[in-house]
Amino acid sequence: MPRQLGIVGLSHKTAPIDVRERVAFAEDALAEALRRLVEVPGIGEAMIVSTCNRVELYAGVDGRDAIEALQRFLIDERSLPSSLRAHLYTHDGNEALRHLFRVAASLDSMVVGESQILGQVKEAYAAALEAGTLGPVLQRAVPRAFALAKRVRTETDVAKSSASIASAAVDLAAQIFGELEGKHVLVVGAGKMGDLSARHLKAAGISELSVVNRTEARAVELAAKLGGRAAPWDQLDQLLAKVDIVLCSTGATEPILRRDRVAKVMRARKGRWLFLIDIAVPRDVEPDVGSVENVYLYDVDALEKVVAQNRAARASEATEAEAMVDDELKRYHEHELSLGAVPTIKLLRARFLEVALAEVERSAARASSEKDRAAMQQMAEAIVNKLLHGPLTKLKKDAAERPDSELPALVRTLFDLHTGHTEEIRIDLDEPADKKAAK
Amino acid sequence: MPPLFPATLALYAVACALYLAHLMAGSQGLARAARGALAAAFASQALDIGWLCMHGMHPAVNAREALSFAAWLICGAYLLSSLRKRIPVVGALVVPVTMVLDLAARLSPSHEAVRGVTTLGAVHITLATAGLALFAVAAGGAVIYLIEERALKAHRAGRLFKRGTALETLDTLNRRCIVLGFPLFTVAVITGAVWGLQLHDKLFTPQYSIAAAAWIMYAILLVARVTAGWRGRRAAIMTIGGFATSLTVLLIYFVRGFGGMAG
Repeated sequence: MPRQLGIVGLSHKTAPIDVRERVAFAEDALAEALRRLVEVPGIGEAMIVSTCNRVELYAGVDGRDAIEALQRFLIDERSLPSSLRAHLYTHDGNEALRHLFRVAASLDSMVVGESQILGQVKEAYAAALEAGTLGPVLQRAVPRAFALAKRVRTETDVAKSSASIASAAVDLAAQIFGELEGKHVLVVGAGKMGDLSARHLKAAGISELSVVNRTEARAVELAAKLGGRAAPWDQLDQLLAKVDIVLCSTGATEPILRRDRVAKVMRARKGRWLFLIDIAVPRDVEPDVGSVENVYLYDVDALEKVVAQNRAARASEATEAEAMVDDELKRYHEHELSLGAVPTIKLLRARFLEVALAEVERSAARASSEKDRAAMQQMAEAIVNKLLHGPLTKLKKDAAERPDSELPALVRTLFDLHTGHTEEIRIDLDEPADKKAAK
Repeated sequence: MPPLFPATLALYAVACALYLAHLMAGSQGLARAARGALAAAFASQALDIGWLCMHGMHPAVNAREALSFAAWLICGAYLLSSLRKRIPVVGALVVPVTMVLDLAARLSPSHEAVRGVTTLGAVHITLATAGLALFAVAAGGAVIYLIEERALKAHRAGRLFKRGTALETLDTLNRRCIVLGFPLFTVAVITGAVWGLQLHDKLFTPQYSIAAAAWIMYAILLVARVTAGWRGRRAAIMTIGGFATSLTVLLIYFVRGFGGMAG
C-alpha cells in the first residue's frame, strides 16, 4: 500500500479549551516532538499544527496500523487519560486530504474565513521543514492546500465578512468603553496572537499601548513594532492598576492573573472597568477572575462564542468554497495518478534526446561556428519535443484516468527503457515542490 | 383636556414604535427618526403645558398635572442626555414609560386644585418633579446597564446587547443625571420639609420619610462614587433603588392628591 496522508488530532469542534490547552505543543518543544514522531514505525514524515483551536498531527503513514501508532503517540506524548481520548479524531487517505484542504482554507475554523489559520499551518510546515521531518506526501499535499486557500480567499467572499477573534475583542472593548480613544492597552507576553490583536486595537483607535514580557528584549521588540512602550515584568501590577484593556498571550503553563491579584488591583483602580482578553492557550487568566466586579474576562472560547453568530452569514460563501475543495481534491488525485507515468515520460524523453544530440554532435563537426552548433542543438531538441508531444500527453491522460493503465509499461518495453535513470528520476520527483510556500 | 394632547400622545406612540423597531433592526436611521418624533412630542407637550398655565393649571396645581409634568421632564432629560451620546436603547425604555405616565395623568380623575399650595409648595413640587425626571432617566439607563452587563459577563451577545450602548456611556449618563438631579431633589426635600411644617406643624409624614430615604440613597451613591469608586453595577442597583423609593412618594401623592401632603 502506498504511503498516504494520515491525521490525528482534536479541535474546537471536538474538545473544550481546557482539553485543548492540555494537548497543545509549546513552540520550543515542537522540533523535538517531530523528530520523535518520525521514528515511530510506519510514520515516515510528519508535521504538527498546534494552535489555540486545534492540535493536529499530519503524517505520511503506511497503512491503518500507522494511524493507530500516530494516535498512540499523541496519547503518550501528552499523557492523555482515557476520558479525554474521545475528543480525538483520525482521518486517512482522501478524508485526510479533504480535512487538510478545509483547515488551510479556513473552512474548519470556528470563524469560517478567518485568516490566521493559513499562517499557522504555514508556520507548522516551516517548522517541519526545519526539523527535517517532511516527506513526499506532505510536500505534495500541503503546498496544494496553501494554493487552494489562496484561491478560496481571492475567488470567494468567505473571508470578507469574517470576524476574527481579534476583531471580536475590539467589538467587545467598544461595548464596554464606547470610544476607544484615550484608552490604554497592556499587552502581556510577546506572542504572535497578541501582536495581531494589539494591532487590531491600535487600528480601532486606542491611545496608549504598553508591553510587558518576562524576556524584556522581546517586549522592547514588540513595543517598537506596535508603536508602544515596553515595561519591565515587575511593573505588571502597577500597569494593571492603570490600563483599561489587558491582552494576555504568554506561553506560561500556569495562570499569571489569579482572582486575588485582580481583586487587589481593582481596589486600586477604584472600580474602573477592566477588560481582560486572554488569548493564550494554556490560559493566562484564572477563569474565576471573570466574577470580580467590573472585570470582563474573555478567553479564546468566550471570544469565539461571540463571533460564532456571524457563521450563518457566511454559510453561502462557505458552500462555494467547499465546492472548490472538492474540485481541488479531484485534480489532486488526477495529478497523483498521472505521476505513475512520469518515470516513463522522463526516460522516453531522455532516450530520444540522447539519440538526437548524438546525431547533432556528429554533424556539428562540420559546423563552421559555435553559433551554428548551438542552432543545430536547439533544432534537434525542438524536433524531439514536437514528436513526443502527442504520445506523452496521451500517456499522462491515460494514467490519470485509469489507475491500472498498462500503457507506461508497454512504452517502456517498446523503447527498451528499463535501464538507466530510475534513481535519478525518483530524486527528481521527491524534490520539495514548494519550499517557497513554507516561507 | 389640553388641545394638543392627542397629537402629543400620537407622537409619543410613533417615537415608541420607532425605538422598538430600532431595537429589532439595529438601524441608526430608525433611532434618528425616533429621536425626531420624540422631540416633536416634547415640543407639543410644552405648548400644552403653556396653554394649561395660561388657564391657571400650572404643574403644581394638583397631582395629575404634576405627573404629566414629570413625563414631560423625563422626555426632556432624555433628549438632553442623548445630545452627546447615542443612547437609543435607553430611549426604548424611557419613552414608553413617559407615554404611560402622560396617558395615566390625562385619564385619571381630575383632582381639585389643592388649597394651601403656596409659592413654597409650588417650588417644592416643581423641583421634586424635575429631580424625579432626571432620576427616571438614570434608572432607565441603570436597567439597561444591568441587562448588558449580565450579557457581557455571561459571554452572551443577544440582540439587545448588539444594539446596546457602551457600559461606560450608560454609567456616565447615570452619574450626570444624578449629579444634576440631586441638588434639585435636595432643595425639594428642604422646601417640602418647611412646607410640611407650615401646614401641619410636623415633619415626619410617611411620604416625607420615604423621600428622605431616597435622598439618603442618592447621597450615599454620590459620595461612594467619589470616595469608594462605586460605579457600574453597584451604582446601577443603587440608582434603581433610589428611583423606586422616590417614585413611591409620587405615587402616594397621585393616589391621595396633594391633599395627602396637606394632610
